[in-house]
Amino acid sequence: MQSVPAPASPPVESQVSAPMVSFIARRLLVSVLILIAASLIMYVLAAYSGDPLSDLEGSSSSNKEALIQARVHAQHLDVIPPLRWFLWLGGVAKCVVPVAGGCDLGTTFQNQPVAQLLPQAVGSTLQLVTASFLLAIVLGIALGIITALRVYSGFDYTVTTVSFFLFSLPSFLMAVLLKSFIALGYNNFLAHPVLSPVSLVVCGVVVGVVLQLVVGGSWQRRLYIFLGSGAVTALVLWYMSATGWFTRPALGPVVVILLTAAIGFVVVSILAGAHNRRAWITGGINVVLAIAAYFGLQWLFAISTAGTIAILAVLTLVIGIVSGAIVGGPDRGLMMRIGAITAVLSGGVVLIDRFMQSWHNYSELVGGRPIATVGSQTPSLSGDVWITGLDSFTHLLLPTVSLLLISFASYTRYARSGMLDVFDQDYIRTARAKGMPERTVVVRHAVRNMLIPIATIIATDVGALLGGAVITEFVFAISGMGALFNSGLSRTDVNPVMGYFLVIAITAIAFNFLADLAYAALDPRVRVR
Amino acid sequence: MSTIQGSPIEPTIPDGTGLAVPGEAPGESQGRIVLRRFLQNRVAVIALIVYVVVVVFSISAIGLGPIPGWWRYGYTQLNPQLNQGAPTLSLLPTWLGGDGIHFGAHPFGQDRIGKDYFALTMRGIQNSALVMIVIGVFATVVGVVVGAVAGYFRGWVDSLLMRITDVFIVIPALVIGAVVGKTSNGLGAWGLALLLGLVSWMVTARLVRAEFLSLREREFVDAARVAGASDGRIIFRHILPNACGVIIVSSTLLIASAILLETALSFLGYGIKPPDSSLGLLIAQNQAAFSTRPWLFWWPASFIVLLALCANFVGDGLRDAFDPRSRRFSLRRTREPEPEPGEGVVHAGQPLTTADEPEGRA
Repeated sequence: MQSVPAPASPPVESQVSAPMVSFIARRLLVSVLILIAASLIMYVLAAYSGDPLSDLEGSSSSNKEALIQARVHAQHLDVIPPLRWFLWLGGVAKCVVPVAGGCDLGTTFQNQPVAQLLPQAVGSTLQLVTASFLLAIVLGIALGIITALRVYSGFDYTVTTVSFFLFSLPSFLMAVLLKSFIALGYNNFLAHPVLSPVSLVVCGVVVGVVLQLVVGGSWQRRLYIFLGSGAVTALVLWYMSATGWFTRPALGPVVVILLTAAIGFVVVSILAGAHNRRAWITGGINVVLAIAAYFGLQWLFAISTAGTIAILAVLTLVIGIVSGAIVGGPDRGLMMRIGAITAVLSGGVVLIDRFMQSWHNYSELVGGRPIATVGSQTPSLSGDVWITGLDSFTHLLLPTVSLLLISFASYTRYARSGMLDVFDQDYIRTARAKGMPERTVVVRHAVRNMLIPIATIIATDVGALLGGAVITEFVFAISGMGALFNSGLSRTDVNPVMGYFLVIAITAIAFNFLADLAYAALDPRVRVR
Repeated sequence: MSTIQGSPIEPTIPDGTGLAVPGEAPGESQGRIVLRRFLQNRVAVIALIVYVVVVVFSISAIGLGPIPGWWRYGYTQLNPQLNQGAPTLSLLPTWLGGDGIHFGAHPFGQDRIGKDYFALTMRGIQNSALVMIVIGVFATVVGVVVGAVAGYFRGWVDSLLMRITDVFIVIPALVIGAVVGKTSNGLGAWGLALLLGLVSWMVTARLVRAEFLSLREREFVDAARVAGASDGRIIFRHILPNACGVIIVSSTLLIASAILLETALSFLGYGIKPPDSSLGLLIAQNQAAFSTRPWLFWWPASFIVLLALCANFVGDGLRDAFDPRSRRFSLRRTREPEPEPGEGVVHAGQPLTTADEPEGRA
């Protein structure tokens, strides 16, 4: 893959052609060979990393010899590791060849087939990493764009410093920190949920300082923003504290209406600008529908299952797209995007409100200490979908935050430097020269081009996603892929380690390949060689 | 990757490429220009000084190998518990209501079995710094050799070496690090560092190869070849000095990630083992005692962050110093064509390219 500006660039249709097919075929072949070689290295290293019988040899049980014999026999420990690898590879080959019947990735020391453990582990890893991954991308890119627009300002330096700090914070430190201080602190706070005047002032000052840095401008404007936002924050927190909001959180009709309206306003003014009447109509329809759903659907929420919520979510998306398409006009695609984004976000507000209504019940159920520090669910908890949803939320909150903080720093840096590179291009100067509004230059010209390299980074990161977070899973005792690897390796149990390796290596190779293809598809200057 | 290929570092830098610092004498060597640009970056220089001071302090405190340090306790020695093991370090002078500035018997406190935490932390810094530097140097050497050979000879050598690189790069660093770290069980910090270095050279190799691929087509390489220089001489005397920017920067960033790798592995139990000490190991050992003895957490944690932060800042400063294209871009500047007052010289024909400001860290 080379980023060569093609002098006489061929039409796009011819990209899927003979050279493309042979490129893909070669890539696949090489990838399989790399995978096999890497698995050999991994297998031999893992097998020689310790003594697989150490736990049995140290045991005092009477049938020790028989246990050792059984394990040696089951795991072929009498065969030296490089040769044992062939046995393992033979089992893996059965997964690829359909006639051989069934996958054989070996068994763990407890005689559980690895092929059965993997889907379960992948499931809980995905549950853990998906939210943090998506949030890291969205927040990281948004913050990167803001810092690029306010480049070399106080805000930019602050974010740069903070992201360096996050780069330098090992993930286990972050996890332990969150677990020992945030979780315990918040749970203790909930026992007496009243904010002291000092903490109100501190929160107000912090919010004010951050907001005035983001908005920038003259010092008077900054001062007003600092005072205004600080006072509003302190007042809101005081109100929440005085009304016992922290134990019985709720948005209520007024806040839901205000929030959905704000969402519609922000989405329309960023994506379409304030002068686009059709965009206002699209956004307005979806905001009104979300508010109507809030008032009209509570009876349905009360008897909902996960399936109902999923159907409602899909319905929301469809309504958003369809409403955009009906309003349409010359820029139908944009309207559909606005409709979809507004609908999904304001639907989210309604959903969050419903979850909040169940918070108090949930909090009572788990003994008033809702933020969990281990595992991924409370054992033997029964309740409707809202209770179990909150249970997952409180368990995944801290691991998600710890993963989020670490990965989002790098997206901020990528997005920032990408934006600065793009601002340097001639087409941005052209767009400004022909009198485009700054919003159009940034949203339509700069951000879209900045996203091309980031798309490939994201694709590569998705490949690494299934590897899970070995350390985060370890600290929070979540039994995902990382835990499978870690527990396998600590006992020198090679088969689960290799099962883990297979999944992450295949996804990494596949998504790297997709990243290259995506780059070729998104950037017409790149051609396949 | 394309940015690396696109920015070969010139052996001599012609004037007016936007690199020239105002008032710079023409004909300065590249090394001096880089040094000057690096020294202008205050954050990076301070980070370098802090890093060296911390490492030297830790070595002098508990000694190196057989040489004893100035601190009175060893890191394996058990001492009687004083005041529940709370830190005796006091930094508040008496006139501010504190106890006066003194170290006390156990400045960082003691752990649950009475070991002096200052000695343990210093030993941890020593081990972590050792692992960082050995991984950095060793992986850089391997990476440079692989990358240089692949990029210079091209053809099947290149294909073979790059496929080997691909094989290693498929396995995530933490995973292969954990496996290798477990294998090194009992080899101590040196063994761990060397084995980790053996599996962390891939990124450097790719960058060096890309640099060599572009540098080998340059005229000065042709000139050397015509003059009869051997392949080894061309690689090491002609091309390598020109690729040193990429190499130094990538090895510094490797060092920054090495401390995170080492502490994470020690935390998981695959790195440095007790009775030896490592910053990650200290956190793992004392995880349960956080609510009762929080200092057992804060000392190693702050030193991990400090060392990693310093390495990152130095790496960033070096990257800016070596990159002739690095410049300070400002949206305001593109909107207003004239340079701001007090700004450095703006070269004609390159309105966006201005000199680095002193505190500049882009």
